[in-house]
Amino acid sequence: APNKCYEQKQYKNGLKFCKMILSNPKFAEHGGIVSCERFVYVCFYFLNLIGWHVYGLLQRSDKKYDEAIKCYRNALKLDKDNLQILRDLSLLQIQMRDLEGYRETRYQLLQLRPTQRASWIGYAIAYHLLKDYDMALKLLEEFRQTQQVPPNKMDYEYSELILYQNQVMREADLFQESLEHIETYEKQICDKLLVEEIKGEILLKLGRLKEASEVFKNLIDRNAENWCYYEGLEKALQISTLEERLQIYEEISKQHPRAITPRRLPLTLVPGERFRELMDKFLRVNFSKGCPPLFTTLKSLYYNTEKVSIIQELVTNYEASLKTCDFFSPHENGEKEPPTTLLWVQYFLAQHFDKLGQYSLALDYINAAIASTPTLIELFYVKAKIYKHIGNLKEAAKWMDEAQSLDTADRFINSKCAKYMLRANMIKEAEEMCSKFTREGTSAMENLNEMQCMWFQTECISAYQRLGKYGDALKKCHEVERHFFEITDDQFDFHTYCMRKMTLRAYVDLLRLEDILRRHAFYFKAARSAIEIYLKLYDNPLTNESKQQEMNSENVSAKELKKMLSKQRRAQKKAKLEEERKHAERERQQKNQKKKRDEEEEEASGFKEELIPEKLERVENPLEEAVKFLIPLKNLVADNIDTHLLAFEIYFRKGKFLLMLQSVKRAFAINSNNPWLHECLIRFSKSVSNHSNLPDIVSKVLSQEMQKIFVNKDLESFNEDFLKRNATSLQHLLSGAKMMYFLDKSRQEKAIALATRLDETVNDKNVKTLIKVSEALLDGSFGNCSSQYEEYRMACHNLLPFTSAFLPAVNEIDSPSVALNHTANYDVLANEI
Amino acid sequence: MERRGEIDMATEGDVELELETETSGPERPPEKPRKHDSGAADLERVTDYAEEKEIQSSNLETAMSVIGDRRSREQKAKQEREKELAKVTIKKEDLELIMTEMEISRAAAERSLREHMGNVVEALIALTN
Repeated sequence: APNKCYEQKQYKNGLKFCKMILSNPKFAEHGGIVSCERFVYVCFYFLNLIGWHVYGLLQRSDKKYDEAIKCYRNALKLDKDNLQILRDLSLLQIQMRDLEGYRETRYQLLQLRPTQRASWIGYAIAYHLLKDYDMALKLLEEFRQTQQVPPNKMDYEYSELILYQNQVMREADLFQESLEHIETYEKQICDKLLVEEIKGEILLKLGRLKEASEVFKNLIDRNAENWCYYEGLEKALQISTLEERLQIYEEISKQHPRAITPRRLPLTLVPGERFRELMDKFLRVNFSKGCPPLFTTLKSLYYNTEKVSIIQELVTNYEASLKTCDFFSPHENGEKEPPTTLLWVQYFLAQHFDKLGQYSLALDYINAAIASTPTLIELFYVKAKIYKHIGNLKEAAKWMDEAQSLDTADRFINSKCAKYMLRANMIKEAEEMCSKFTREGTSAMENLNEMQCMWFQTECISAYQRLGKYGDALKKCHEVERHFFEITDDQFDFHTYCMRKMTLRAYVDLLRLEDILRRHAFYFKAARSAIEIYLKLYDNPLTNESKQQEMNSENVSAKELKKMLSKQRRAQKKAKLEEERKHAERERQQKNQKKKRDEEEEEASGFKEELIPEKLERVENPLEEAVKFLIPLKNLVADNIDTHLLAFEIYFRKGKFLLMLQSVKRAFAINSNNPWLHECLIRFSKSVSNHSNLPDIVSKVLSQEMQKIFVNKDLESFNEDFLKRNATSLQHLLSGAKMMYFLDKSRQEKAIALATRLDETVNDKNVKTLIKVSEALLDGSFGNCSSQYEEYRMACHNLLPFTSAFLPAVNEIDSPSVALNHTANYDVLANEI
Repeated sequence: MERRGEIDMATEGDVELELETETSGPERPPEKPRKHDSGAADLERVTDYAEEKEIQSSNLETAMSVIGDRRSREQKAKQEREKELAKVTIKKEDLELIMTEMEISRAAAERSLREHMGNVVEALIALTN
């Protein structure tokens, strides 16, 4: 009875049974003392066994998987052939990706129950995941043979089994076998499209090109917009000349006159005059029709300057002509273009010039379009984007707000508006904007967290970070991390479910996705911000208010201090009352919801400790917290140089020289010329020379490996070489200049002059990079240089008159100095005084 | 699995996890009436215990013996690898140095040291790659 209970998830009842057995006095009356003793022993044995099993289940439900595995192993010592325990153990092993352990356990399950199909499938999957394709295929074939499905019957589970089997064959590069296999069983496979795609792929691999080309032609007939089919067809036809390729696209376009792809793909291939001809046709058709995403489909051509100028010429001519005579060019006749054509042309030009960085012109075009059609959302969307690129984020948010007001039932534009508000650090407004679509009864922030709305949360993280509100930012970072934990955790139930339903391909895909889950950009953003913040908090830990007042009283007279303090206290009181009011309101709303949620959360794990911003930003060991976020990046995003540079910054502060070495070596292998890496290398080398008491072994490793990077150069020459190599790139000049000052403070003038160069030879004088330079002038990288900063700001303002960061310091929120505030609380209050 | 709470009006088309179709061919049974409970009942059933399907086969014996052979070969190979590594002598201070400097577990540090024949400098160089 206890066993049955926990198989049906009635754990509490199972424990009740155990208690019953123990406490029931009737058992003592049965057949004498001897049998009673034996019965008691047997009881203890079972209770022990059940105890370990149940303890394991409890550990599992608390997500303590390692502990649970230990419990199960203990239970197995008492009863090594216990089916239920073995099953539970196998689930944990696959969850923790102990693939060899999983295979072992599944072998035991197979021995115990060779007639159960899950035994075979589970064992086969274990081999597949361990990349032992031979064994996996043997098992799958044995199993397939036991599935007596008549050849004319369509059975979904059998179809999935065949497709899974075929997938394993292809992964094992057994292309001939895979082709024969799929041809044998294709009538019983439900997914007919997939069968064709597989055939095409294998025929290519086997070099049977004529047959492959037939398959791809059929696929294109089915769907003329799939670029992969065109790729396959070209490989199959082994086309060498451009003419042949264009011929094919022409033919297909005739057969499928409405398809966009056969018209779009040639544009990437052809150069010069031919391009002009094709582009002219393509553009006219799409402008007449009124195709909003036209620019987006052509954007990928903009790496080619010749094509860009051809496009520009064509479209600006259309615009001029349409304005005067409603034709694409002045000497045409036939049907006149409707007024909307001009609209889409102007819309296109706005995006075109925006891409080229000619913002003034872009605004002219978009404003002309708006003047003629003031209710079209797309126009305001693009206008907002232009302002974003200019660097005036408040204006951008304003225009995005205008856009969403034109259709308040459209959640896409609502979300975009919220995002633009967050970029402008308007967090409250963004939350209000989202609340128009979130659930009633909870705050938008909470609901969006519940819905795992990570785009919103990551934007909040950045906004809080810019405002210096580290606690709030960290709270969101941890919320995002928890989503990833939940997504990983949720796969647990699918280990049994998928095997039961035979959706094996989807199951293996799920496992593979979960393996690399934290490679996702959302995790990277959250982790990167968390690490940056913890580094800042390590460098400048937050002090509490009394200490702050101590520091200030040195510079200010007693009377002024008293005044300031009382003002502070009043402001604090006011803020506190406001907080309390909001808090009370929220509590009222949430009280009703809490009862419901408590019931739901009974089964959930107990790790949901509340995230409190003030606590998070005063954590004892910020570097250790940073490392927690770093580890998945090191494992999964090792190809991104920033992973290693962030790692370096952490280990630099921890004083772990070999880990610093590891970080720079890995970064160096990715891009030895990266500006941030250059700074890390110099700081690293300096630090090594300053530490003379390192263990011998460590010193040996360091000198041997650093030799490969620095090649006997002294640091000044290393820096000079870097500057010479990158004389036209502002990003690199900035890094080199910073290091010049770092290595020799007396060269401050020269270093600043280098970083603030704005002559024509410097290439990347764009908004982002110029802001970076100005921030460096303020944050101490060049020492004290406020007058040089002012000069630079004015020069940048002349270059980029619309960019907020370089406007004369009236608006605090946009200026770079706010982002450098470390003691957020005090400064917010100071602004209110 | 937790229930996520009600789905807003903005989202449609709840995912149905259960496809209890016994009929052959692609015909699907008539659509169930859509509810706003996000298929919560179906989600609950995911973890239900179900008796595993049995297979009929008379020829399991040959298959099982092939498996048995393969397994004993795997075990042997594994044991041999472990034996080779165990022969290598390693120093305790080297092990601890690796653990502190590289912030890795004892097991990982030990493996690395053994794979480099006890040469701590080489082990560290490899670990910093």
